Amino acid sequence: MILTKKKYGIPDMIILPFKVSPFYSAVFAVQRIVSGLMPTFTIFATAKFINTATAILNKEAELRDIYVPIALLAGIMLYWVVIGVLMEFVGCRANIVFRKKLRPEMAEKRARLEYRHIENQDTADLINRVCPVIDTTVKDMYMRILDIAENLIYAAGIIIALFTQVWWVALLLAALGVPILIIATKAGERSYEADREMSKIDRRTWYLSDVLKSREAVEERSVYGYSDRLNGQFAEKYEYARKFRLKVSAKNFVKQKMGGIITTMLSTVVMFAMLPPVIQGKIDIGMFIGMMGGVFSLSGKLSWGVNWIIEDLARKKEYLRDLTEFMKLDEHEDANALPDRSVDFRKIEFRNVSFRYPGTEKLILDNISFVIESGKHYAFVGVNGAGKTTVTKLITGLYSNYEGEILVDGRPLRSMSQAEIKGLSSVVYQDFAKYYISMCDNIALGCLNQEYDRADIENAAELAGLSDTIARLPDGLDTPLGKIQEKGLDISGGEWQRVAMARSIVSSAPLRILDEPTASLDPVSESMVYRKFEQISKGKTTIFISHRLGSTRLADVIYVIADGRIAESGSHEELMEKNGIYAEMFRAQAEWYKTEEAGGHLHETEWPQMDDTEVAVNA
Amino acid sequence: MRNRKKADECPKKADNCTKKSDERPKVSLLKVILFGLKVNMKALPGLFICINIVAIFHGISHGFATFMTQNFYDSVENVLTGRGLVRQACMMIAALGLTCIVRELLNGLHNFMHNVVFTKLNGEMAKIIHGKMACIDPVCMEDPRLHDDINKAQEGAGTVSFILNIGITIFTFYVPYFAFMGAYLYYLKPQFILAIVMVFIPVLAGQLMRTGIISKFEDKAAPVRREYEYYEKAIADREYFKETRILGAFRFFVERFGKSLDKLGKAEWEASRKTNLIELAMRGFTVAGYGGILYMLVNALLAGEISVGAFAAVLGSIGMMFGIMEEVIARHIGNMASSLGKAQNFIRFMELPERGGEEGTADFSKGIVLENVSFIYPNAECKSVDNVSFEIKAGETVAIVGENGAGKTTLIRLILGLYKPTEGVVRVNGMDTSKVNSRSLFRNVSGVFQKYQRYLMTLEENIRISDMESSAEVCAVAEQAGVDVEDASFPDGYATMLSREFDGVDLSGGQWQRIAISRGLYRVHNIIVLDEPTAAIDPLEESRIYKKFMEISKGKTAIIVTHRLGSAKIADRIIVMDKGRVAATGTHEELMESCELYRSMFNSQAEWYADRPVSNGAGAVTAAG
Repeated sequence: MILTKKKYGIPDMIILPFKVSPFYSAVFAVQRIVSGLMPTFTIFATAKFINTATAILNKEAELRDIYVPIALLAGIMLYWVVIGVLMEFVGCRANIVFRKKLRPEMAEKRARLEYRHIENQDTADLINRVCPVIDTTVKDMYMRILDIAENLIYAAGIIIALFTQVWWVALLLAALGVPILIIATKAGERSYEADREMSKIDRRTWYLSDVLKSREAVEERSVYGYSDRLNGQFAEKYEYARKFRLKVSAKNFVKQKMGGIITTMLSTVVMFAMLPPVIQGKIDIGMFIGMMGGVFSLSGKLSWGVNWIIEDLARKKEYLRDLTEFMKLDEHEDANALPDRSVDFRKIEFRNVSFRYPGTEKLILDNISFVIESGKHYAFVGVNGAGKTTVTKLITGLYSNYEGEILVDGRPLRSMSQAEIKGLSSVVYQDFAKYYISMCDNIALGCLNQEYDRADIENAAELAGLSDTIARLPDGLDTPLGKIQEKGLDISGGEWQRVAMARSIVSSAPLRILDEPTASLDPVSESMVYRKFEQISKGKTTIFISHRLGSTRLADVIYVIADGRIAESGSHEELMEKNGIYAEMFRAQAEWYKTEEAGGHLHETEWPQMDDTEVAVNA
Repeated sequence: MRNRKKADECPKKADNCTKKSDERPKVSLLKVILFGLKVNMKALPGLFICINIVAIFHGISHGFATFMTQNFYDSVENVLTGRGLVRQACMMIAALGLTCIVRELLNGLHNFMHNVVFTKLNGEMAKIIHGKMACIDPVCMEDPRLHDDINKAQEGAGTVSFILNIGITIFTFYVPYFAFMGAYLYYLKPQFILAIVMVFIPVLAGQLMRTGIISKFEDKAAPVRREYEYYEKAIADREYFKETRILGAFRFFVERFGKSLDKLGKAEWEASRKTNLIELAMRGFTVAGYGGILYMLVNALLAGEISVGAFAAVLGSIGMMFGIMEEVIARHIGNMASSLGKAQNFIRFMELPERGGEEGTADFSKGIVLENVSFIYPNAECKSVDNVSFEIKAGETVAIVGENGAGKTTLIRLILGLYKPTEGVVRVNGMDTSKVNSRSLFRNVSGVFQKYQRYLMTLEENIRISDMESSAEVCAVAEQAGVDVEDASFPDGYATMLSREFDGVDLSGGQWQRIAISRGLYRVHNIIVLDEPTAAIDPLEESRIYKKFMEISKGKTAIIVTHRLGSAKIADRIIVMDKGRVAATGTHEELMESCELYRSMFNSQAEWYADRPVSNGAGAVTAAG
């Protein structure tokens, strides 16, 4: 494990890369140190060359004496010309290693997280900020540290070289260099902060732009004619952020350039200071020229690059804070286990279960009690937000912070392992997943915990009504679905849904749950889906969830959920006889399809007040 | 590929919006630069001239510093050899220091001004795009061939400023720098002018090879990258999380994830190895050029043709010459070529046909007449609306029913004049809607659309957006539409920001929908359209909404669209659409009598609510697709 639960800070910018790949981290470090020393080396090489050349001109040396200094100069030149390309090779290798080591680890951590972190907007945002860039960020922050190291070595080398010639100038340069660096650091941090401050306004500004450009909004934009006004608002917001940034960057430019000008002046001072010893012959002309080159290049370097390094470093520090938070998120130990296929049950009982979504006030389930018996068909009905889908999230162990007990043959669900809980039920969700892998693999995901042969998959596909689809696909069951693979084909929403059902059919789980997988379908088609599924599921226990009542009459037992409790229960006939909520709802829905006089009962037209809290949490 | 094939098979291409997809006009570089120039001169004429003057001096200052460095070294050497005075050397030091300071200042000024121009231009371009977007014929949004141009217009606009900037900077910064250096080198020794060539040739050759060879290696990894990103998603993205966990599919996907990572690594390494080997070979040219210059310099120095100072100054500037040459040729001109495509997206976007039309008053309250109206979407094969004629009388309530894909929404857009009919004519108060501009046309029109927008703005702004000129209170319509401002979901009342992203709240689909309806009502109108904004909710609730809607719209013309026939009954008249044609019109009772299609649709929907048990029809699931 490279990443652990701990507080991440600046030392981790070095520790993490070395944990990922000591070899590449070391290669980068060595290269940067060499690059940092190169300018100092250049001073001496230049000095040597010029002195030799002068000697040759004065006939004090042989022509061949120049070859070594030329080779040195050429060597330095060669280094700078090729080092970038050579490091590209290393960089590419390192990228691959960093990704290979970090991304799967992050993915596993994510997959083990408590489900509430996935549904909670704040933690979901955190996850999205941290995970997709972990490999590049870990590498980049190490690079920033090396940038700093290289610059420090560079400066130190030149200053030491200068110290050997005119010590007091070297000290002066070092003393004045520190405040300049501090100013550059501050400027870098300030521009990072300005960016952060403005990013919120930016997002709003560019959101307006999205509205003004979106293809989906074309009807409202044309009919409501709001473009001019919104464009005005956009311009106002954009100018505000632009001017704010401009002020900050103007200040930074001034600071940065002041730094540049001060170092240039310092270089001038160095020149003046070196002039007397040169004239007195204490410093030779070659060393003087070499030194001048070094000092000027240093002053350029100090005034240009530092700002950006610091700005980026501030960004990386922020990332480490996020990483710390992310690693702290709770997880399930055996969350990634396969379902246990030996699980069976005779009776599942919800006993006085109450539940609210983390971070919300409203009780979605309020002291609810009911029983699911093996082999029967159940329907859960109720308006949006009544808590129907929440029940499935509890049965499947996605949330465990409920009050009361859920008992499987008398055994608390909480005490069961993840593998056992997974083995208990198969669910076709409202928002079923469309896995972009082959149809065969898609279905086989339902029975990963057992040996299966192709015939099982084919059989399930046929039962789910996929025969026509398979016949149409070029490679039949083996056709990759979705647009991810090159040969992949997309299938319709209804077909995807049947794939999800086939997955449920091959599952060994004794309980099958069909959770309103039909939001986009009209009620009639939905009812047909339910009817077909019920036929397939003979002998199994099934739960259908719906807010539309037409399909419910198929069930042995109907649970009407209202205000987080079971308001009524019984078969369709019983409930109609009872003449309670269910009967009222059913008749009201049927009303619209009576062939005689329309809408007689609905002259009093109040707007339906749906209770959508549950939807809001999921949205 | 498949799309294109489809387009070719299409028997009759609708051509009111684009040129043929395969022969789209190429936009020349000159046109891009001229466009950028126009915007630039309009937005910041003074600054634009200033920045270019600064650029010229900035370019020269880099060369001049090299020249001054030589003079300084020479003066020191002269002191040493007794040919010069210390005072002269001191003056030279001061002059060099001053040159460097001026260069620093010019550099800062140039960069800063560039920053100003760039951000300002960015905003201007966005405004231009928004303005254009408001004028584009709405039917263009439905043309898949134009999606790229529309989606990438903003990015393209950025490249326009980028290309303009480079096109100009080459002449105002890079050319003066190299001209000065050339003159200086020529002055040192005429043959030295070759040095510029020795810098130019390797960089240019490298760039040519890069565009010729390296670009072929790129993007081979793209499909693998897509795959590995996808598997990561399947492991832990919200969309997949529940199911992957409960199915225990983690191992399955992590294994594939690992394999695709390896595959990606291999593909990337393969590409990188090849490109970098070539790059390394091309560095050979640079080394040769560098070596050539060094050879000339050393020879001249040893022959006593140039001073030590000149040698050192030129030696120190070779790196910079290569750096700047690479910047202009490899980075700038290279990027310019590759970003021209994006800029073309933008220019083509700016040339999309506009809705246009004359001023006029389209008074929808006087009734609407459709005469033999047909409509075919751009690039589509069949007519979506096929020879439709009917009349909507003033104050009438009409329901349009039909199955998904029957052409209901398209018909609505034709009635309102959002689309111009391919054939036939839509008249409002006798006026042909295709001849009137959209401002006049929609002056008194409102609607609640299938794809109603969820604006990430405050509740009040969300309602007011339908009529931003109006100063009327929003309370009345909010109440009418059942938006309960007192509810806990609106902690700040009308000022509640409806977006988590902007520190506000999330709303449920039902609440958004009521807001969309109050938005539609807020706009002053004498005709209103309700186009199935209710897909996600219960048929019962939908019917109630429609009923309430009718009450509010009493006396105004109203059109509702639905595929649930139960709700349509309340309309004065029902128009049954089938495959783009009007199958029948009449009241519910008349249609039940006379229209077989309507009757069977109605009965099949009613069946589930009938008192007898549901029959077990064969092929039941098929209907779900």
